[in-house]
Amino acid sequence: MHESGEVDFSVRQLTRVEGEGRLSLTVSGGEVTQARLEIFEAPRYFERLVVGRTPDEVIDIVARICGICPVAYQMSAVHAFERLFDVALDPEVRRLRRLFYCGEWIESHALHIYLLHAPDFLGYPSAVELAGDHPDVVQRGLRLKRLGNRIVAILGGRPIHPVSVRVGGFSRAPRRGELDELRQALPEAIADAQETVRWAASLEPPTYTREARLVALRHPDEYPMNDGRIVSSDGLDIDPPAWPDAFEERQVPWSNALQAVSHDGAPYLLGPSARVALAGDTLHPLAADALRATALGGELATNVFRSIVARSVELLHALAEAADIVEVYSEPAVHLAPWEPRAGVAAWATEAPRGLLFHRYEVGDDGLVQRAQIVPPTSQNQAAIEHDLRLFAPSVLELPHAEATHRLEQLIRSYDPCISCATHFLDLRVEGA
Amino acid sequence: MRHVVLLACGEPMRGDDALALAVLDALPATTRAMVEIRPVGQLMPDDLHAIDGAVIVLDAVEGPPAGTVIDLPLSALSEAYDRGISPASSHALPLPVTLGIVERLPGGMPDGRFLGVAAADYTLGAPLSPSVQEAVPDCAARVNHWVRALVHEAKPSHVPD
Repeated sequence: MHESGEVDFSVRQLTRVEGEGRLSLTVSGGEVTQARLEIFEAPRYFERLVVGRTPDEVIDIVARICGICPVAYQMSAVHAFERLFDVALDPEVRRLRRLFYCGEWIESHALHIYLLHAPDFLGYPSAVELAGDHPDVVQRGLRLKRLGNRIVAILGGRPIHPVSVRVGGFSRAPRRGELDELRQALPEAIADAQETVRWAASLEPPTYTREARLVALRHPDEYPMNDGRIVSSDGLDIDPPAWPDAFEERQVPWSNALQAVSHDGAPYLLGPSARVALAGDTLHPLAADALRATALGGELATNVFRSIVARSVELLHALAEAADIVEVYSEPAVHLAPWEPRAGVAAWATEAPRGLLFHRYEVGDDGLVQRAQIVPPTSQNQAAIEHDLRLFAPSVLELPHAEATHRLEQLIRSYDPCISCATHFLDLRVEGA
Repeated sequence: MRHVVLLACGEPMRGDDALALAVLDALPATTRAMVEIRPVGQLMPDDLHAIDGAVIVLDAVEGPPAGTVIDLPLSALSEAYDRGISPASSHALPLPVTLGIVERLPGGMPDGRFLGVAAADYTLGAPLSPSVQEAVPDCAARVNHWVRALVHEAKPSHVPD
């Protein structure tokens, strides 16, 4: 505590999040006067790296933004280009794209639920200690994660930074027999995921309730991944390319990542909790049943600590949908549809594991990208994280300092932030050059 | 013959992070045929846990001067990390957590080796830096040696010159 009566809560290096950031929060007279998620990981300038590249090169480059959600970057980019170029996909290719995305959701959600988030609820500093006391729990998480990686590898050529996605489809579609191992493994994985939902729902969260503005894709016939319209809990309903009509990016001095907010400056929440709230009626029946059995319903949207349950429900959804796709799969008649580039704006959003991922590319007459904008979910959730820190912090002020700080860090982890993803977007200006 | 898994870590588009693939290319075809090669991108607990047989982890390395060839038992990797030597390919979990999880699960850390070359540059689109390129044959010779040793379950007391 300072002589002024101010109390600082700071975590110099956030752990169990992807990338490098810190928490800084100042309380004075019982009021939170400053709440910052300070992202100091160096910017990586991917939006500049894709300039002058062909659409297919862009798809390969943006996959390198993240080692956990590369499929999301590929999907937002490829759908943006296909929409601009009026590419008609074979229906089986569309299903393969969803299977591909299911694989990424499975590996990403399993990683976060079991290895990054669960230790907070069970009182362990990390998954190492959790593995020692609850090896069965950690092994279940590893089994699920491995299967997700395997799906990505079968469709994408390798588990990290896959290489098969092309405008018009895939460079190669798997033969039906290549999915046999998935057909055999998925039933056990679905049982693991059902147990995951039950287990996650039993974890006691800190008491915290707030009404957040929720934003996600919504599609009338399927749980949102590649397709749909951007909707919100307060009535927004727009085509994905219209993202800039509703939201904007701003730079704040304490972060190397741009923050996205509504045009009125208000934060909004993306990710599993938002998707379950806005599109829960399109969950796979197995996932819907599991969610109903938790009896948590609306609490998933109002208590961010319950995001582990929403993530578990989506893990089950992704496995169940993957099993359905694999069961009926037949090789597409055309795995790579023909297309011709054209000048214009290519824009689309898909649902990365952490939430809405918006891409916008200006394509020139030569078919090369002239300008790019990539808005990942973590930079959109940053303002919501800081808003939640302000609201939640007063409830932990009476706790011992270390415990209070831990609770604040747990709140940030509830968002599953990927700081590495978020730091590509600094608007670099060299004065006097 | 013993089953041996070779975990090839790294991102081939990021300069020296392509080390593992360069070393694989330099291996005799007969050696490559003796192991199950798994490109894993980044080293995670699910890659190391419950491996049936022995494992070789091949990756670019952080810490020592660029071009230094690292050849360690897997069981010594935690201690090496404490001395500032670490595989480069990690994103979601720090190396001590990855290794700690595997060590505490049933089966523990599998028998095997960690091999790699200390990297200099990870620029997207760049080739291997000269010092790393020069070290590839030496690293490949060691991988070749350990593949054959582990496949035949021998326990050699020295590495090749």
